[in-house]
Amino acid sequence: MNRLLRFFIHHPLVGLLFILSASLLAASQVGRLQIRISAEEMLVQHDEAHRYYDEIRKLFGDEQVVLIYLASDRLLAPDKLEHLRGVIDEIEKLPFVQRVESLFTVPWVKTVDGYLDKKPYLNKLPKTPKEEAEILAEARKNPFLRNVLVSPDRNVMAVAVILADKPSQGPPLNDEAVTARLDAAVAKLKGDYEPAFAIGFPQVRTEIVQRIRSEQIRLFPWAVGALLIALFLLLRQLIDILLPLLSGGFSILWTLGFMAAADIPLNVVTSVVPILLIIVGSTEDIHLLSEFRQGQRLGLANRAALEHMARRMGGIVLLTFLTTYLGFLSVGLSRIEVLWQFGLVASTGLFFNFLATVVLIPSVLALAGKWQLDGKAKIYGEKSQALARRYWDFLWRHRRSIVAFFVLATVISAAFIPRIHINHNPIDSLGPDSPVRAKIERVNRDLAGLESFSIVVDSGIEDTFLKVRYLEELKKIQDYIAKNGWSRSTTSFADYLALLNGAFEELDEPILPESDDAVTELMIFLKHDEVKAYVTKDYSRARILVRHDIDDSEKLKAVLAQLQAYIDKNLDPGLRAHITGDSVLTLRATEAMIDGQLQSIALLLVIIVLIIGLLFTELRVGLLATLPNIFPVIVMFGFMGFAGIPLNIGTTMAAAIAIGIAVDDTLHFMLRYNHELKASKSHRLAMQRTIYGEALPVVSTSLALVAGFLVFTMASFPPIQQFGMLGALVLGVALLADFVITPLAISSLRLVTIWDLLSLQLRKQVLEKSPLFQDLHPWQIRQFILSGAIQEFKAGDLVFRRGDPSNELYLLLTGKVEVCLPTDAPPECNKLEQFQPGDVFGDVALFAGIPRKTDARALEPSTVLVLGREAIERNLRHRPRITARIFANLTGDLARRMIRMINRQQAQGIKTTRK
Amino acid sequence: MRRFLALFSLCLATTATAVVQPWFAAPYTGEKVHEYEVTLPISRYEKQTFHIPQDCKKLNSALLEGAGHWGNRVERRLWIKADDDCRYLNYLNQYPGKAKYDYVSQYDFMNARIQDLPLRPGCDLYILLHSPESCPPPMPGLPDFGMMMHMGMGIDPPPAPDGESQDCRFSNGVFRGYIFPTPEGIRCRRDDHAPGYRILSVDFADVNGDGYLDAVLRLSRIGTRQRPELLVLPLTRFAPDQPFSLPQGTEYPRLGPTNEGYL
Repeated sequence: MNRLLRFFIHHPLVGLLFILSASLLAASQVGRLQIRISAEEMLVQHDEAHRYYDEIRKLFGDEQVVLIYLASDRLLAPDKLEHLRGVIDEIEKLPFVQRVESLFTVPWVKTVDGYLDKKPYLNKLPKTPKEEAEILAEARKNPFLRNVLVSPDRNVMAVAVILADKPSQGPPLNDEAVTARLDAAVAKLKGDYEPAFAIGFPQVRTEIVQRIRSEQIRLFPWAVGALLIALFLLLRQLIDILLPLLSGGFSILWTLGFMAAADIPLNVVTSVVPILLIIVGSTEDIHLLSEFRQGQRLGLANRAALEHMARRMGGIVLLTFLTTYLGFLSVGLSRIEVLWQFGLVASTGLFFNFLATVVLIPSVLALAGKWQLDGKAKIYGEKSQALARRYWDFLWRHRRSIVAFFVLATVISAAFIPRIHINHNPIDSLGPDSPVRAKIERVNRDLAGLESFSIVVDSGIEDTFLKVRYLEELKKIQDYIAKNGWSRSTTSFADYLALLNGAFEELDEPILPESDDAVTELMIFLKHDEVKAYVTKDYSRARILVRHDIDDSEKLKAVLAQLQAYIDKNLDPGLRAHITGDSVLTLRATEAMIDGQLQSIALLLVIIVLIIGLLFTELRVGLLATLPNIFPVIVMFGFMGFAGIPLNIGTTMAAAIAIGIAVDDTLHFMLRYNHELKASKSHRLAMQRTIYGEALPVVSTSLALVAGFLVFTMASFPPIQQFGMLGALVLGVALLADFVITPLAISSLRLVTIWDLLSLQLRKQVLEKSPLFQDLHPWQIRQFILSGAIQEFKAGDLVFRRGDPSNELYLLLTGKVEVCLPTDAPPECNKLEQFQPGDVFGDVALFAGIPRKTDARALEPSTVLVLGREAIERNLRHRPRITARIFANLTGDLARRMIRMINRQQAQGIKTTRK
Repeated sequence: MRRFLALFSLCLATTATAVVQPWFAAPYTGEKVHEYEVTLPISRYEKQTFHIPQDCKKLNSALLEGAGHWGNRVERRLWIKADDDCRYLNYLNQYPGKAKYDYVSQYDFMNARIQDLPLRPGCDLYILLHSPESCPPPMPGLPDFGMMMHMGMGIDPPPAPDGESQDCRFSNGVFRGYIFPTPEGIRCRRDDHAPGYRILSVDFADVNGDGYLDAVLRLSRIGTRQRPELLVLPLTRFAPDQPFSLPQGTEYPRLGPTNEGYL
């Protein structure tokens, strides 16, 4: 990463050329980008239930219907019917219309002089109000019209416009054109029927598309504005304010180009991505810029400050990008296509943003880094250092109360989690003020509703449903649904036969034939095409179509479960029944959404634990790092339960995305703490410096993110509003947790980063040869070593002196150190031992627990690894095997040194004796 | 005057028996038609379209070759329907041009008086047409032309009318209600919700070749729990003021599937 940043520092024009080329390539694709809303994309993909439903749709057919809702206290007044017929004629000619069904076309099945008559209800226009009432009353007797095309109070009727798969002529029409042309036709009925409107999924999709378009225009400036204000207040540099916006802008362009090339449309969910990129993408820029400016404040020249930025932030930015990327990508784990698309688009967009950042920032700063507004941000200074100190002291002093507070907050939040309800109804995404939603609610109130599910009953045996016994099974299920008030319209093949039978028997109401022979007689007068939506050609499978207005996922789930239980218990053993349909798939999508949500969060947390664990070579550190990120998620779910915010397509993304973003600050905090700890060798000082150093970038990025997420609350789609609100909540709480939980959690840890390990590679030869580390694996050596600290000594420096307390053990890494007994005429001393790299010294007094008896002096510039008593004891507790080996080696080494000393003394004794 | 009436009757008879074109109920639509098309399976993989009544011979040949058992339950029933229609046509045309006397065509069968029909207690139309031998002999003291279509259980007979009851007759081809045989004659209580019969068509032909024109009524039972089955009732009489009787020397066509359930 550092190399990449350095490359663009030294070749800024190459960087700018790359940005330009990528942007031109993306711009060439953007024109193909579509805004597309599809109910299909809200469902679980590659799902067994989906496949089954597709099969059922192939078997029974599938039609897209738009209802024209007409209300009047005299629906069938002749002048109104004349107008209506004209409008229907006009609609029938529209290229996207396959046919129109209304009282003008639906057959009134009856017998006239003993022969079947299937002329439509409005074959002749009624002449008197009495005739009008009779026709409506007769239509209400038809189960296929009752509550479907005629309301119970007979003041509302509907005309069903069945859309063609492909238009009969001209180019394919989109939803907006369909809506516009139907609205124009229906507008002619305004004087006759009040209200009169067309409603169906094209209208829903049209409203969503139009709102996406207007919201992109409306919200984007707000997002940019929020970011600008945050950047201006915190960074105060023109170039620093412009760069995040530029990298955000380029990454949005590239992302839109990618979406167009990959045929991923803008929809309710993916439309969030551009604004999200502006908000989230700025965080890495802020960290890089902040480090660059800090380098400048240290007095470094432009290039040197950039090098400083690359060295200090390169790896960190890569890591934080990775965690955020994984957070976004984890949303794509969902089996729901829109969420999958979102995961892919948002993570790719974030990657583009990262790329734009690491190319643009070094390139532009290399060329224009000297340009400044006022030169300095005001936040860094003596006062803020003192503030950081006081803050940490306060935190440490009240740590028990703080921990208790957080535990209590967690428990209270967790208590509200079971109250979260689920709602995945696409109509809900329109919001309470939507005119389309109001129309749907009107249809739901006066007619049987736009939603439906099917119960497919299968025997596997030909002609089953030509037998009364099995037709009665269908009716039994229908009666059960009606008895429970779940639906105002259930229709089946049994209803059609009842209708026909009623007509032949000249009865007032449809009634099921009583014998199989009678069914067969009736079948002479029934073309299978007329009932293909309800029974297969071999009459082995039948479908009950249940229209309903249940818009609550939980209620629907309970209804379906109860229905399935009834079917399982009461259906003829020779039959099998499956419930399927849009409602069932929507419900499965809801379940998949929850699973996906939990999976995303769990996987993300595991990855974060592993990354941080690996980074700091200890799993415990990874686990501790998740604390400040789990807490906001628990608070978020608790808040959802408390405030009645449902789990839906928007809110399901909030937690995973917010964790992915929030963990960045934790990482920055921990890495800086590690750095400061190495430099200062004091936990307290390191923590103060960390709080001081991270306050600006972490607070500024978090505030920018919170502000950015709050922009989404201005959206008109409730799931997106809730996504924004919850995202802001998580980030706000995470900010608090990062400055409260994180410092307390990591203050007791000696953080060892992977970089520390890697930096020791050069000393590998020395360490592995050292007698202290015999029979230990390299990773064990590293873990032990990195619990110590490295100190540099110039030639002549004292490592320790006689009389010093013995609290450390020393391992010479480079240079030479001499240990001697001081004489009365310093600097003269009696040399006892000279140590080479790999040798251990200072151990005797340490383990004897007495003050130093000797002086240790560096003979040349030397590097020494210092292992304190505390660190050794901690290793003894946490890494007993490694420490036991170390002690064994140490004993051996000590013994060898003693033997050497004895040999030396013996040699001196012999010399003295000879003398 | 009598000669004139006899000539008039002869003219009518000639006209009536020239070409008999009965109405049929078209398959699928149920419309009232003189001819229709029906496509039926003639083997496991083949289908053939028949124009009824033109293709009646072809249909009969196919049936004799065993084609009638192909297809599903509905298709097999369609074979029967097409065959029924052809058989009915043959029934009407078995003695073309034979009738010399017509005492039937002037009668308004669609508004027929119940007691003009050859029905008696214990023998309703269905029994009469399906197993006439099981019809009991006329009860002594009761008019021969009484009938018991449906006895209303627990329903009292209506009071005796002053003159001839308008209730005891078909009205526009439909009679729905209850018939009560009383010593004074039959009494009827009309009820639009009660079961009954509908006369679907009246065709005229000499179905037994005795020279007297016969009326052939096709009826179906209507009302709750009634099977929509076609009944064929041939009627004749030998003088204008006589009641109707069943023509002798002809088979009564029994149309539709048998009760053995060969479907």
